[in-house]
This record gives sequence, C-alpha cells and structure tokens, in this order.
Amino acid sequence: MPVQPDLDAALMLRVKRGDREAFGALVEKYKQPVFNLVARILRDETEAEDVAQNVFIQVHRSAPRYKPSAKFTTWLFTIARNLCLNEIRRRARHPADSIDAPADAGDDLPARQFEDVKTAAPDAAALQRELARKIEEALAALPENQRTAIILFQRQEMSYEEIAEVIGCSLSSVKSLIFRARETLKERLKAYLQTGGWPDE
Amino acid sequence: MQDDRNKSLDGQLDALLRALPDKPVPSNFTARVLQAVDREAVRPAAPPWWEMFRHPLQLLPRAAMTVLALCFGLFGYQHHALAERHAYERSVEAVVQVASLPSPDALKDFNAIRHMSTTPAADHDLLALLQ
Repeated sequence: MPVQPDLDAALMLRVKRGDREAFGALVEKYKQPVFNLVARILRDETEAEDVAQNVFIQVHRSAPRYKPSAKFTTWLFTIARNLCLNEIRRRARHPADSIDAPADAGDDLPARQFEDVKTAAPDAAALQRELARKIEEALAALPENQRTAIILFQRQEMSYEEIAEVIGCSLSSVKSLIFRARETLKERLKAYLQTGGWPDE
Repeated sequence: MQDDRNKSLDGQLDALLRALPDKPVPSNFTARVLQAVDREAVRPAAPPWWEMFRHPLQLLPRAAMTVLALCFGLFGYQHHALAERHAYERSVEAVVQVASLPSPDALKDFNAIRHMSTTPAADHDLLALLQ
C-alpha cells in the first residue's frame, strides 16, 4: 500500500495536540491494513475486532510519546503485532476463552469477505472463493513470525528493514522468514500454481 | 528451466497474495474507536493527594485503621525491646558470676588433685580408730 510518512507524521502531531479529527483520519486510513494483519495473525475475526480497536486506542494513548523520526506504519504495526502476541499468550493461558480453534479458522471463513464477484461469472466466482480459502488456509498454517513477515512484505509492501523493526529481529532473519514462508506456501499451493486449478478432493 | 519455473511459481504466488480479499472491517469500527477514546478522555483522573482532606469524615475509618495498626506496631516493638533488655540483663549477670570464680592460679594443681581422686577408697576402719 502507498505509504505517506510525512502526512502520517503530521496527523500524529495533530493527535498529540489532542486533535480528534486527525485521529479519526488515521483510524479511517489504517483500519483495513491493521484489521487484515490482526485477523490473519490471530486467525479469528471476532477477536481481531477487539484487538484492532485496542491497537488504535493504544496509538492514541501513546501519541504523546510518538516521535516523527519513527515511520508511522512501522510503529503502528509493531503495536498491532505486540497486542496480537499478548492475545495469543492470553489464549494459551485460558484456552476455554477462545471462541474457535485457530487451526480451523480457514474452514469457516464467512462468504461475505469475497464480495468481489460482480464482474466474474458464477463458476469463476466460486473458483476465486475456493482459491482465496486455500490461500488463507495455507497462510494460517504458517508459524506466526513467518505469517506476519510475508503479510507485511506482500500486502503492506514494507521493506525488510521495516519488517525487522516490527518483528524485532535481524535483517537476515526477516529474509529467512520470508523465504521459508514462500517455500511453504508454494508447496501447499503447488497443485493450483502448476495447473491453475485444484485436483478433485 | 527449473529456475524459470521457480520464478513463474514465485510470480504467481505474489499475485495470489496481493489479490487476497481484505478482511471485512465492521462498518462502525472508526466510531467505536473514537467512542472508546472519548470514554478514556472523560474518565476522571486520580485526584491529587490533598483532595482527601476536603472531606475529613470520609477519612475516619481509614484513620482509625491506621491508628490501630500503629498501636499494634508500637506494642510489638516495645515487647520486643523489653525481651531484648531482659536477655541482656541475664547475660550481664552470667558474666558477673564468671568474674567471681577463683583465679586460674588456684587451678594449677587441678590435674594432680584429679588423679588423687582416683586412688583407692579410704580405709574406714583406720579412720574410726584414729577418731
């Protein structure tokens, strides 16, 4: 996604001065990427709603400490990932609180998320839904750090350096995480990537 | 050939990942966040410490508990100090008793005397005659 650090920093400086409208603009701009990341890290959209909301509340609380030298998206996604990890740790401590089992998350994804079918024929739309489901499943099966790294790299178009800052590891670790994630995804999606379709299940 | 195939697979994978549909964000998401932030803003901050003296009657139970705790603390400390003092007095007395013992010179023949005590028992008949 296109990143405008100057604009974001300017908005954050306004938030720092208590500008509610600037904060609303930031939420509006980043709610989708944050929600995408959080939902895919947690593999649970219901919990993702609360966590994504907390991400922005945390941003608001931390605004007085924000320094424009730090890139806003890096700071934002670091907060998002940390809150997700807290949630995963909380789940591990209280497994009964979790609404659904993470590994099954891909099986019951609501159909409403695949609304981009206006231009496609019914069969093509079904195929697209099936493909998206398979990719989500393959992503969900990755270890958390590989999943986060590949999402930030592919979906947010973040650099290795920025991803290293978000995940809190070295540049070479990020490259390795992304490489392993890609290899695993290619292996899992091989059937589709080679033929353009799924073998009968 | 293999490299070309790999590159092609990579390209396809990139395209698939980029084309993944967004997760549906609730339509009232921004409003909910702003409401939560507003709620935090109106939540009263902790009052300054001097505010507690504005309503002295409200302080009574807390003050009573504090006085009670102080009394218990003072009583415990006094009890402990008294016990320590008694123990000190006892130890001084013991030292005084040790100081009143005979000087070490008096014990210089102690070993000889101790050996004498192992000699055979007294001849009671002879003692009776001597008396």
